[in-house]
Amino acid sequence: MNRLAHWIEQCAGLLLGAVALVTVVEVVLRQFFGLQVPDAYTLAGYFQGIAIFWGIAIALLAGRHITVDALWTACGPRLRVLIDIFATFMSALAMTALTFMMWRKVSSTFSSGETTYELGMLLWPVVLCATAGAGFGVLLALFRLRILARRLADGTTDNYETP
Amino acid sequence: MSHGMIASLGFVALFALMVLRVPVGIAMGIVGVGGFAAVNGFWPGMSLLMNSPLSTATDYTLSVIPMFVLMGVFATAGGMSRELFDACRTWVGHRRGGMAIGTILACGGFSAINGSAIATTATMATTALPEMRRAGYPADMAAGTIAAGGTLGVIIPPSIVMIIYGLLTQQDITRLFMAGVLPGVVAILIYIITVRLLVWRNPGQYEVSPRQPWSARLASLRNIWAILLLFVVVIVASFGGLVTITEAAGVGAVGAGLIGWLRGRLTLRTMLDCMIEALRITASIFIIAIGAYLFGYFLTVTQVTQAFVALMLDLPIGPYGVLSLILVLYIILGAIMDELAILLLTVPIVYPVIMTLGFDPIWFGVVVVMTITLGLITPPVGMNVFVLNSIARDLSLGRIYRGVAPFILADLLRLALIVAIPWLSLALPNAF
Repeated sequence: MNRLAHWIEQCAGLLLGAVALVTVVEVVLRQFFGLQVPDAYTLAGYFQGIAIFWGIAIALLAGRHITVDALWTACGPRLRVLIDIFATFMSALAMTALTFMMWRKVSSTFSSGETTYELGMLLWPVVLCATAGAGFGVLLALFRLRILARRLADGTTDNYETP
Repeated sequence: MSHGMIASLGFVALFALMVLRVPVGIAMGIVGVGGFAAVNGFWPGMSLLMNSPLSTATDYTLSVIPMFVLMGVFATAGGMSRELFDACRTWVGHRRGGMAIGTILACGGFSAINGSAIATTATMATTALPEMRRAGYPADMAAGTIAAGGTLGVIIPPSIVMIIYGLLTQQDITRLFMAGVLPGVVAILIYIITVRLLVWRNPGQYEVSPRQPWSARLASLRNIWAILLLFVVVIVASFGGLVTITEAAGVGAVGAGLIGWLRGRLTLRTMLDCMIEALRITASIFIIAIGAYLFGYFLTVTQVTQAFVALMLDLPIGPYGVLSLILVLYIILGAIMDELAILLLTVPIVYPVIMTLGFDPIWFGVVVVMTITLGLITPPVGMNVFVLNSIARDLSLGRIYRGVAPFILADLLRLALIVAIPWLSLALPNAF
């Protein structure tokens, strides 16, 4: 699972790089040649959106999201794992609700045949890719939950932060 | 149930979830959707999840965040901070405490191409801390200097925190960046004075390096061309209106990567690692942004903002009394929470109060950023201190906090100056 997460993270990282490249190409063409790439910023936004949903999913597995650690740092090792289990469970719940509603968005975008303004590209595949990221987040949160539960059962209480 | 009751329960739930280490963005999202659903019904609440997160994540104007993050990561991996530190040390290293002053200057310079306090602290901790310790500087003072210098990453443009403030309040980010320049210079000067005072108290603890000849000093400047080029391209192009701030950030990101690659500092593999690092930082920011937008719906339906504005205006303490109260709240929150989370959570509530009281929104942006920046070096959760502790494992948190204490006083003085003299923040944006 960790290897899969890393591979996906690489793809999402490349998408973020693509946002930067699209921006530069658009700026250079506009400033020096008076040209515009059709839907450049719309596409860049979609690249970013897909990258972010997959990035959020992987951060859930690694426990890398921004949290308030004041209570957690003051607790003993066992209580820390219990807090992490609760937090991961809530995250999994929230990501499940998000994935469910985003799936409905995929359906509605598919039915309406919504497209981008200039190139007329269908939007539902973009929404589907982002939704898949959210769904993967549910899986990874459950995977983390399983690891944390095992650690609690085994009495292994050192931090589980990065896969 | 009344709206007031729902709002109160919502805030209790939010703080309970956050204290129980639910990611801040997810906690805000849960309360946002739950609170909206409590007022308008289950499905209207759930329907927020259908559009709001996706539209936030795909919003191109928010690309300014990942682009500046990517630029900072490329610049760090490309070794630009090392060159800057070496140049600063060459110029001021012959003075007593010169290496600490050089560190402050290098932090300031690096902040001009990197908008993250943590990145600035981490990179200077690996560059400047070993050098200062080798030169016999007291370890707590050296660590304190770097932790404080790292906060310049948030104050000096480009600053991710200022970008978030601008997006939340719909203020021009370029003007906000201009507003941060002079306060950033003031911050550097006050830190240098702090270092000089510390040296003056115990001069024997600080070795002096030999004075470098002018040829060596000028030669050291040759190595920082990359930072100057990036700064000029990004800041001047956006200040001059040639490109939007988002475009400038994108050009800066590609430029930093290209410079690193052409100089042989970055390989395709390390560039990919940089993109992954940028993605990790961006994802952790965006989940809070997504949560904050959802939380905004909760604030709207429960009319919390209006109630808070009315409450603040009823206080018999005048505009500056209310401002002081808000700043104290920010200092307290800053001590326990991440600065981005504080901003996203509180600005939608606090900003209308500030506007009603007649304060300038750009000036307040600088003030609020300066205030929450204090939280990066104050206990119990001073993120810069934690970063230093994770890099220099032999330095305890207590020692680093001791070292940073004089700089906290300096920060409070700086904050008082910025509040008392709005000209410092507004001179540049008003001039253009």
